[in-house]
Amino acid sequence: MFTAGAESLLHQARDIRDEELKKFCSRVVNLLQKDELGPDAVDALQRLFLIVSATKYKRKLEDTCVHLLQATLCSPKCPEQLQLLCASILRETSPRDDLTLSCDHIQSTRQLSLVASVLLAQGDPKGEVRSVGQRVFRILESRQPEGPSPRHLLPVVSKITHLAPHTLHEDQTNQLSKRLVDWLRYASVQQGVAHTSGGFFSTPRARQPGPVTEVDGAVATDFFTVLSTGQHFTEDQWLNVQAFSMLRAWLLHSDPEGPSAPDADDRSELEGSTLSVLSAGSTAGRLLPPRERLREKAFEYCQRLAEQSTRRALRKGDSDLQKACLVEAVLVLDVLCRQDPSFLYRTLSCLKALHARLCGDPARVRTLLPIAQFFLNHGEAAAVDSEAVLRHLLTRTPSEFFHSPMLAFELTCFCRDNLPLFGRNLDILKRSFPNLFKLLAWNSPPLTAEFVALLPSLVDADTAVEVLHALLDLPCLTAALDLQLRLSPATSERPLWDPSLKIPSCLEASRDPQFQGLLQYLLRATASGTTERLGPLHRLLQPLASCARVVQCAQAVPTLLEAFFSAVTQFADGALTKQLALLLLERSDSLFQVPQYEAHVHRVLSSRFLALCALHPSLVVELAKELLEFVGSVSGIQGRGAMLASVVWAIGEYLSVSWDRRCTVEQINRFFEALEAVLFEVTQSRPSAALPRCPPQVVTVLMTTLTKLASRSQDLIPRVSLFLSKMRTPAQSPAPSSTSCEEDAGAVRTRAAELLTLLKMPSVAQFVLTPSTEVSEPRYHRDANTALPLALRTVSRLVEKETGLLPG
Amino acid sequence: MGMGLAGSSKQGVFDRRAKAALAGGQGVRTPPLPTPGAALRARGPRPPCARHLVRALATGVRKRPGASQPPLLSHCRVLRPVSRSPQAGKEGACPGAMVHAFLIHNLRAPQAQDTGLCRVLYSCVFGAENSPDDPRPHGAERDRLLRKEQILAVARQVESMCQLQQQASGRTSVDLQLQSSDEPVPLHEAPHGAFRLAAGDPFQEPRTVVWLGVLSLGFVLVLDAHENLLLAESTLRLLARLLLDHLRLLTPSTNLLLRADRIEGILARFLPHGQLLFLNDQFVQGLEKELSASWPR
Repeated sequence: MFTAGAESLLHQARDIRDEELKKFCSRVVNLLQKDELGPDAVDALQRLFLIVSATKYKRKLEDTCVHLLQATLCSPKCPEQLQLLCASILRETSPRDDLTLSCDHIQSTRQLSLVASVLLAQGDPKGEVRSVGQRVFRILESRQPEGPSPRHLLPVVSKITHLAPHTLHEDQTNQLSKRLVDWLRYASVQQGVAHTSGGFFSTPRARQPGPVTEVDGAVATDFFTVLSTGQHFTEDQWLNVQAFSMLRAWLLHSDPEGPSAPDADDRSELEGSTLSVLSAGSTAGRLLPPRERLREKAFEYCQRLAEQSTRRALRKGDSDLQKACLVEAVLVLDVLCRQDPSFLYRTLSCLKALHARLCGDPARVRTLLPIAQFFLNHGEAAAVDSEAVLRHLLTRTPSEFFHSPMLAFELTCFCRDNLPLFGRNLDILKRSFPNLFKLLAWNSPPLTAEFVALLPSLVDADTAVEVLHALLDLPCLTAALDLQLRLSPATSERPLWDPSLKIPSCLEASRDPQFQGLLQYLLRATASGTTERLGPLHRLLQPLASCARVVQCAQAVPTLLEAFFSAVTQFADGALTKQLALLLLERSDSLFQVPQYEAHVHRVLSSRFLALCALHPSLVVELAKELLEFVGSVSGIQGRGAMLASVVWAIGEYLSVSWDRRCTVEQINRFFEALEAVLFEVTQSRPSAALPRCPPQVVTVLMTTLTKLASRSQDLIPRVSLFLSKMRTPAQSPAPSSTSCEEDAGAVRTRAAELLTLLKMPSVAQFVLTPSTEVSEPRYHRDANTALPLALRTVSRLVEKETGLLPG
Repeated sequence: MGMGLAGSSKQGVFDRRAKAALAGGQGVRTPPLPTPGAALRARGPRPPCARHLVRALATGVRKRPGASQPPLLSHCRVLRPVSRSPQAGKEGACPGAMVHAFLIHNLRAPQAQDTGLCRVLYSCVFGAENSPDDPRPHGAERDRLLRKEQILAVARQVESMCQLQQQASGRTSVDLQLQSSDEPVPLHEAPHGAFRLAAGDPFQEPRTVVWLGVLSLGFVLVLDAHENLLLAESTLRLLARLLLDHLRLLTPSTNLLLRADRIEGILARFLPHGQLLFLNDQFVQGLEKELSASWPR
């Protein structure tokens, strides 16, 4: 347990000063120099480890101390406990440049493995990896029956091939491949003998051990694998475990490029008959090169594992191991088929059967992923359609297992990693986005980043509108999933939802057929192509809105929306943009009421609305009716300020003949009247002082837009001037409450004065407020007589003169 | 262990004998550093690469009073920003399938953000990531600093993930409190999960993190991107169970900080060099017997 005591111990370890450490090191040196290394030495080394590991900064150890740690580590008589401590201290302080450690004379493989762990932690500045590799292979090559067991060395080999793949020579690779074949395929099928260490009654009489058994207790029917079990194990059985554990990495290492040219001769007999029965037949009789032979044996091993995993395990641990073995077996088969297509034919029949068997087994659902991966990788080559496998995986699995964090993670990564492989099956993936969103809705913290990467591939012109709705409803989906779990029969002892939150009314109301339909729609597995108004459902699920999972999901939505819009603007045409803009207007006031959710989403929606308008400026003219409705319906400004400001700004920018020929004076006048009414409403008539003030940004945007419109339809100038002059006089607030309030009012007044001045010269106002597109051309800025600088000078002179005349 | 003050309990970093040896020298033992400086050093600079997303999602601000004061001995410490290797993303090794690191850290209850800091209690990195060929001096020191920061960044993210998951499933801090040490901890019900770390953030290569929260401890495996997750998950459960059993972590008086040898002994057998092993129940028992023989409980 982590207690206050541990905390104080850590502090002490960090606070130890250099001179204290120096003295402590000399104590360690004294202890290590003794003939008998006792508990004192263990205790001191434990403390030394804590001191060096507790801080991220360098700790200076005395040279003699470092030297003795290395000597102790390499000493053949030293107990394991001390060796482990020495190794861990040296590893913890690495990389270090004063190491004299070498593994050249170490006989014990366990000790060699420890020394290797120190050397491999150095980051290979002096070729440590190569030297460890060569030493390990010298021992592996010696093959003395009574020699040191290679069991402890195989993980070292794994690590070395991982760190520096080109360290091993071709013949070494072949050598190890040969031995791996022996360990994998020909381990003893008799149990090992118990090592009783000199008990009183244990005479070393040769009690014949029994045969190894399967996980269900039956006598083993075939060769030994990691799923074979017994009371005790022989050395080659241990090696079998090690060999299978490193098999996939080794296969990849020994032939990273797949079927390569130099092997063409060896395999000439197989050429052109990839799927023929001939190549599928047993090759056991022939003498194959080591690499091919290893593949052959690996294939047999995997088939045996698939067979063994059908057995009913007696122990929980073994049943878990069966699943992990199935996954590994499929992954190995995948590697084999990539390296040598002649395996494909045999593997396919095996995997089809496996898939059929596993589809109905909820406990092994995660093993479906590597199988689907296999079909994605090889479906085309094997002329097998992976569609059915993918369809099953994407339409059934997420709705049933969205609450498993590991499955959700694996399935999401599967989709993300395989995007390039989906090919013509990409449509299945796109259509199952409602299902994939369930994973996200339930597990948003770890999956948000994955979905940000996945979204661009899920969205196309057909699905964009539905995806956007689904994203906005994501927190509501979380709540609906919660409700679904509560309504379904219990699956585990511990509830998957927050039991402290009681929602009897929800559970009761959810039986209403009206809600049933909406819930089913929200929980659909695939894209439906339609959209439903979920307002009633929002109200039904409201009691769940405060639950932490829903709040977490709501926090992820803005990020996802940004990703969605960046993707969608890549391909959206005019029609889609119009649909999306309408959707933004419509959804801005129908969101699930989660604390803070609306404000955060509005921030994204408003900026994205402006961006859409900038892409297609005629949107404003085309959506005139809807925009007027939106502006006219702003009753309660609070909450929607950001959205209103960007809509009003877009009107001012793009409601102009220069952007769209269809824009008429009547249209401008109608917008003017509507906005005038809004401005009046938010500034002049405040029914009660308790209501929050309209944000000054919205007021100034409204004023600016009205001025812009007036500059385009000049009959309106007197009206807006009158309004602006009213705004210029201090607002008749009963009590100037706070300074920030006063600052806001000041900003509004200044803007009103500026706009008023500008309007006194209508042609200048039009030029400034509705600049033509030519402004962005370079000529405009170079030509001093016709151009912007001239206009700006004129305007600023005017403005300065006018402000100078202003009272106060 | 108890609430013993530094120096008064037997389990100080230096035990009495060690202290006697220290006091025997010419110098008088200097008083411990005042807390503010220590707190800052303990916390150090923020990791350069903690993911903004998680930071945004994590609730609460972790800040300690006084942490903004400069450390007393700042001139003695090399506080340099950790630079990322220019060769990040360099194709180093074959598509690996191994464990890159194992760590144990403390988990604070979601509501108790202000109590203490996220501490890495034990960490083991299997082999070094390809070392950048950094010509600047103190390259080795910086490598180590980077490694430690990477591990701490992982620990913090795991803590956030675990807290978010606990909150989401409505489990309160009560669940994280000490239970009676007689009851076996239900590991299959313990909070667990996985997430990804993109390349360069904080490791050079992309990694997958699998974590398991048991009471106030987080157990974490940092994996290569293509590792067998089912095997990793069951290995992590096995390691957690072994550590709880063999180090008696549930007994209030024990402390894993001074028992690195046992942790290393367990890792050397069950996760040698970061190689995940397919061990069936009998193999696990065999290795456990071997372990018990080396470290009588």
